[in-house]
Amino acid sequence: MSSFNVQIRHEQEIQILELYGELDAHTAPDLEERIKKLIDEEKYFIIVNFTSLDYISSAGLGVFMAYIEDVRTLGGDIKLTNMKPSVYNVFDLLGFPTLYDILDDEKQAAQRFKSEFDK
Amino acid sequence: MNASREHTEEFQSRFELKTLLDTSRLLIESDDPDFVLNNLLLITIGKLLTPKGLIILRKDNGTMYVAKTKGKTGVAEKEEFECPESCCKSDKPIYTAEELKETLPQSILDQGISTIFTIRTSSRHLGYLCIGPKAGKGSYSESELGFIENLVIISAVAIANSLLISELKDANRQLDQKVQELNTLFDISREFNAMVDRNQMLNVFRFALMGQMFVRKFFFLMVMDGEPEVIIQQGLKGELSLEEKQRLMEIGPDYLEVSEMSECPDYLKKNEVCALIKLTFQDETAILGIGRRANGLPYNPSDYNFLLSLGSLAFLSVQKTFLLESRIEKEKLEEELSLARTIQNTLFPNPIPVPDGYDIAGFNVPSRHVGGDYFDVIKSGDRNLYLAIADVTGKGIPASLLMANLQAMLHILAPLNLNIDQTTGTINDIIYKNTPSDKFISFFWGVLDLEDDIFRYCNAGHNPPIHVDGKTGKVSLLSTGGMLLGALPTMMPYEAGEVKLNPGDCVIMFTDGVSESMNEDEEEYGEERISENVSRHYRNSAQQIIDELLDEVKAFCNNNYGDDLTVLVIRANDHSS
Repeated sequence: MSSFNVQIRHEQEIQILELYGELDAHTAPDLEERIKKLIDEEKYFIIVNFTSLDYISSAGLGVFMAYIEDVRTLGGDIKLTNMKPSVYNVFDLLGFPTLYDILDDEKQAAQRFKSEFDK
Repeated sequence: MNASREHTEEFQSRFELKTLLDTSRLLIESDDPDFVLNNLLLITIGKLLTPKGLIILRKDNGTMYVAKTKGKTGVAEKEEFECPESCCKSDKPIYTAEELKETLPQSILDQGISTIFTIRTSSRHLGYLCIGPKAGKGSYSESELGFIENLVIISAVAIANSLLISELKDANRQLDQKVQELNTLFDISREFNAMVDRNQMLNVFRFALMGQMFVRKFFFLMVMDGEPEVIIQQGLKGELSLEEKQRLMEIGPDYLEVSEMSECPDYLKKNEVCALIKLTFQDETAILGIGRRANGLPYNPSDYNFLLSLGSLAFLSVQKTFLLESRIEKEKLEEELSLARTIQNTLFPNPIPVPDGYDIAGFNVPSRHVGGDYFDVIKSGDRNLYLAIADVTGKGIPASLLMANLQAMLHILAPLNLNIDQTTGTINDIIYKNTPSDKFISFFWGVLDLEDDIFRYCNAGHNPPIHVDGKTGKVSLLSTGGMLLGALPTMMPYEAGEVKLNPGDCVIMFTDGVSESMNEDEEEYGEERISENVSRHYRNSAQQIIDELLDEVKAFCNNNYGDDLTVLVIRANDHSS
């Protein structure tokens, strides 16, 4: 069985999700639950840090796909950072960079959020 | 002044050589077609001082496209046009616009293109570098044109190589995408195999579809309980009517783009559903409808193939959960039925009360777990013995419920020693009130007076029991009574019949499961054969009479009896015994 884990911390109003292990069809519902909970708590500024994620499948990507529109409609965003090349490759193959902010690190993502707040 | 002019020319020619050298070095190292083309065009317009220039490349499929443009050329990059055959014959390195007016589209030449260089390698014609006239007046000198010609020759090889590399990169990427698709199918099928919960399954399917196909809107339609229903949807507003759903289930090919539909439901249009995928498994059909992709790309045949695979996988797995549920349901039902059978068994008399001077035996086998046949023997006080046999229409649980109802009534009524014909009327009225109009009971019962051996009976539409005279072996039928129980309220009173049970006499009661057992030619065993059988064996014990009869019936129908079988026999003992 694939192992997967999510840890959540926050910096001011920005929620940071750190993903660990493998995100596939089996573990995708776990991540969905966490994101759903954030939305229910009206926390719409989300950074997902992929540093410790080793593998992602299409079903894993589907979770982001399922919630990006909701979050953006509510005035927030989901920004993705620190991807390993193998993980980024999957996002790239399926065309995600056109739709998502995929950034090098949390700092960049936080800055992007701040510049969006200012607008 | 001559010296200075020579000096300038030498300087210029050295500069040109250096440019060519730098360019060739850059080009050799670059595998990016965009960079190569940009470099060629920039050097050309810079060197020739022309405000406009463009590069047109040929594609394998016989068209040309604008690969790069600078200045006011009136065309946009990536614009395509037909490539006439004359194009391949371009083997001159430099043309004027006039010379190529048959080959290049007028729209390009109209923009004031004056000079055209052929871009080709030794084996392959790649396209053209087109430039406008020199800024200001004047025409291009031979050395200027010669320099560009050389530059084009150097660049042509680099263009050909970089195009090849970018084709390879594309092919590689397509392969990667295929691998990713296969990974997704593998990931999902492994997950589906481990799952029994339909909602979890559909959720996983949802993620895989959205992630892999980059869609946000879709619905999945399949038949549930005989009607098509949307079992999962994402991002869609409104609903399909039943009739629309039924129509969607009947679409023709494997997949259909909504724009090709003759009559498209509003729901699809409003929600920007762009294609329907038809999934089939045995006789069952499901429809997967999908919206636009978030990256705006259209679905290509390979995408449809993937959607067919993913959809079929989900469809099969969901079907599997339904089958599993119905099996669990069936097992549960069977368990309940066998429990019902246990309860029903306790409703038959056990042991049968047998008064002195008599021999009684009964037999019942239901065709399913529980049946609608019933027999009973109830002793009431010292003097009265009630015998009853009944057959409720239908089988299974409904019949057995009605049978239990009748059993309860008899056990309450018997100790009251009421008049048997009037009581039958009362029972009929109760049954009539309590049961739907298509449920009846054929019923025979009687009470044996143990002091005078008179058997008073009432036959409510039941197969007439057979009375055999022990001395003569004469057979008579006990048919006095009235109509079936439960069909109509009692208007005509039931009649009672009487027969004295002398020593050696017996009465054989049975249900239609015995008389209507069929052989392979669909011939019924019939009451006549029952009479004949008991005439041969009436001297035996009650149990033996039953056994002989059943053996013959079973042989007759080849053990293939369709209904419940019930027989009840009472025999007055001979004086000798």
